[in-house]
This record gives sequence, C-alpha cells and structure tokens, in this order.
Amino acid sequence: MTYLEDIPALIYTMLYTHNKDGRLRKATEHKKLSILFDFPDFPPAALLKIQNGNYEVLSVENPEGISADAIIKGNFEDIVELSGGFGRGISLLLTGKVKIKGLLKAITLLKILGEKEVL
Amino acid sequence: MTSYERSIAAIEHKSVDRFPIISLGVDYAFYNEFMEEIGFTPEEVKQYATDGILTGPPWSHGVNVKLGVDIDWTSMRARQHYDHETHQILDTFGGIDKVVVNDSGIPHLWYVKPFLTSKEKIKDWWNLGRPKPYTNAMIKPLVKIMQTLIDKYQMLSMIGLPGPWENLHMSIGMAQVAKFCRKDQRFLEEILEKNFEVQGDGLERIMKLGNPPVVMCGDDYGFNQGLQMPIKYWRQFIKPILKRYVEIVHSYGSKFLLHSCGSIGDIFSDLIEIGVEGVESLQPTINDLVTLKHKYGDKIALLGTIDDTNLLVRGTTEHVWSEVTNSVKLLGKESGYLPGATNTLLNAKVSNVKTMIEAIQSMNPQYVI
Repeated sequence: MTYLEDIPALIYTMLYTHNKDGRLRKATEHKKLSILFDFPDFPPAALLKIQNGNYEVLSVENPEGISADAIIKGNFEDIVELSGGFGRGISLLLTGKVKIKGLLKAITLLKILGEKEVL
Repeated sequence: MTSYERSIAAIEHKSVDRFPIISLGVDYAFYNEFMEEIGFTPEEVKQYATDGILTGPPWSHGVNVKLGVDIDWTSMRARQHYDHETHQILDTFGGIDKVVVNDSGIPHLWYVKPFLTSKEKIKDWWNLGRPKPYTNAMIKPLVKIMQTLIDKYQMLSMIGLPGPWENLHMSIGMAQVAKFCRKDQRFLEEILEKNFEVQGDGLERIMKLGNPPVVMCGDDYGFNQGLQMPIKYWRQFIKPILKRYVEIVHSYGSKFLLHSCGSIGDIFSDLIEIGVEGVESLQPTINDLVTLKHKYGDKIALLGTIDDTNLLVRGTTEHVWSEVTNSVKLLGKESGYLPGATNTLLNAKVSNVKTMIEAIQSMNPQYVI
C-alpha cells in the first residue's frame, strides 16, 4: 500500500468498510471495473481499480491519456458545495456539474456503495 | 431491562439491572482490528446493511451493536467547503480537515489546523455566506439510523453536534481566541453568535425531525492539567452559548449530555447549573472522579471513565478487569453511572475492549457499595 492523500485517499476511504465487511467482494466477485476521478482544481486525480472483489486506488499526477471504464471529471469545489461534503453526496457525481464518460460503469460504483451507507 | 431502558434509567439516577455501557465510536485503526479479530457474519452484514446501520467510522453503529454496548452516538458534521487556492477541505466554521491513508492501508480523517488566521479572513469568510446551515437532507438519514437503533435494536442511540468552543478555536486558532478575549471581546461574541446561528438552527432541526430522547454534544474544554481557557472566560463566553444548546434540547423534553475531554472538574457546578444531565469522557488519570461523584454524583450522571489512552491500549486482561471493576465499585453507587471508554476507540486492543465490557456486565449494581 502506498500512502494516499486528498482525492485518492477519499475514494479509498469510501470503499474501505465495504471491502472489509465483504460487501465489495459480493458485489464485484466476477467483475472488473476502473474509474478515473479527475478534478483539475484538486489534483492529483484518483484511479480506482476493482477486480474480482478487490480494489486499489492509485494517485495520478497526470490523468491525460489514462484509460478507464468510466471517467468522472468536474470541479471539486462545485461537488462539495452542492453536497455539503464530499462523502455525503456521491450521487451528485451524476448531476450536470460533472462530466461522466461511461455512465453505466459509474452507476455500478453507486450500487456498490449504496446511498444508505454513504454518510 | 432493554439497553434503552437501562440507559435512560441510569441517566435519571434510577435503579438499573446492570450498568449500561457507552461507546462513543471507533476510528479506522480500531475498526480494522475489530474486523480482523471479530468481524461480522454474512447474515449480520446483510441485516445491518438492510437496516442502514453498517456505517463507517467514527460512528460505526454495526460495531457497537456487535460489541453489545447499550449506548452509542453520532455527532453531526457541518457542511464542508473546498478552498481552491490552498487546495484544502474546510468545515463550515473554518477548520481545515484532511484525509490520508497510511502505508498500512488504514484511513485517517483528522482536523488539522485553523484556516481563519486573521480578523480579515474571518470577515471574508462571512462575506462568502459562511458558516452555512445544516439541511434537513443532512439530518434525516442520521435520524433514521437513530430511530432504527432505538426501535429495532433497543439501544439508546444519541445524536449531537459540536459545541461552541470547538467550532471557535478550531476555526480561528487558540492564539486569536486569547487575543480577542483580552482585546476584542465584542468581535469574539460576534463570531460565537454567528456560529450559534448555524448550530442552534441545526439542533432545532434535529429535535424537530427526530426528537431524540438524549442529545450529546461534544466540546472539549479540558486538557491534562485543567481547562483550555481561563475559567472566567469560559464562563463569560462559552457557558452562555452552551446553556442555549441545553435550553433547545430541554424545550423538546429531551435530555442533554456533554462530551468533554480533559480535566474539567472546575466547571461541574456550572454544568449542573445550566441543566446538563450527564458528562462523558472523564479520563480517570486527570480527573478526581471519586470527589466529583461524592460532590455532584446525585445531580449529574457520570459517563465514560475507563481510560482509553493507556489501560485499553497497553493493559493486560487482568489489569483491565481489575481497573474496570474498581471504577464501577467507586463510581456506581446510587446509579447515575454509565461506564465505557473515555473516547472514540483509536488504538485500543479489541480484546481489552471486550474485557472492559464483560467486566462492567459482571458487576451487579445491587452489590456496589
């Protein structure tokens, strides 16, 4: 494990308990998914990789050219202002304030997290 | 008695069948150890997730249910903001938050330092329309969890939000607080009033939406050697605001508890005067708990009191058992006592926490003298 901070650390933390209690494994046992979170106003970007129930998050200094199943790009300040806090409103990723490439894959992440647990 | 009945009875200084155990919550480090050593069965994961109580640290209700405690807590976080110039996440009062994941893969979310380091910055903050209020959408999910824990799991789950002191010094810093106390008291009162507009409104919303039977607000007034600010300033600036918190909660017929770390014996009479019904934390190594129990134990409930900084981290099983049962003997007389770790569990040994719980459960209140 490499030390993470800011956006990569936030993404990692959001999935931490789901990984520990087995919900992530159950939801992604035979799946492979990668999502790039790119908020240019709050670098570095985060690359989330989920494969066969495991996950890792990489800190990406230069996100240009990185390929992923879904790319979520937007202004971090907007997201935080709209949701009241980063962890509070992951569903706001699906508002018009952010651009999403690979929407269905991004929705998979929301299903894994579940709104009830994202507080 | 159910956990809920037992906890309410103890706060009201009535007889209990055993001493109710409080847990403030767990940090990621403890959560990690808990999952390694105890964890949840797949059935529990399914049930707790369905019930919405499988929340992450620090308010890990599922962990508290599994450990078998009687009371737990959620302290609401205010809105956050992002400062794109300094690349920092800020709470709505102006404190800087940070999230990191260490090399062993364990997350840490911490307050770092104040952001509003000058009078100009404080005024600029206000010009941005901050602090911003809580919204019903922020409160409703927490209220739902609290109600599930009370109704289905028969625990006493408490809700609260930070008190006036933490919001003040974490946003503007201790140095400015000290300066304004001496040289610009009107401005200090203005800051406190602006913060209370948000906190008071938030508390009203919590009461209207959930009417929690017990509210606990966290506001660390002490450090190891005493209060963090001179008592005359605490009485002048902080006590009147805290009293308004208590009045809001009492106006809905609910009880008000205070979580406050550090050595705070000097303000016990003040807390009783403004109607605080219980005080939580009470680190035994820095508070004279026997004297506090003797002087105030019939007027205010004592919660916590089991050392989480050393005993639960480094103690042997025998030592933990001995210390816990001694504490219960000394402080449990005539009810009004709800023992548990003095703070959110950070690096405590899971086995020691289990021993603490078993030791408390083993003590029959009828034989505590």
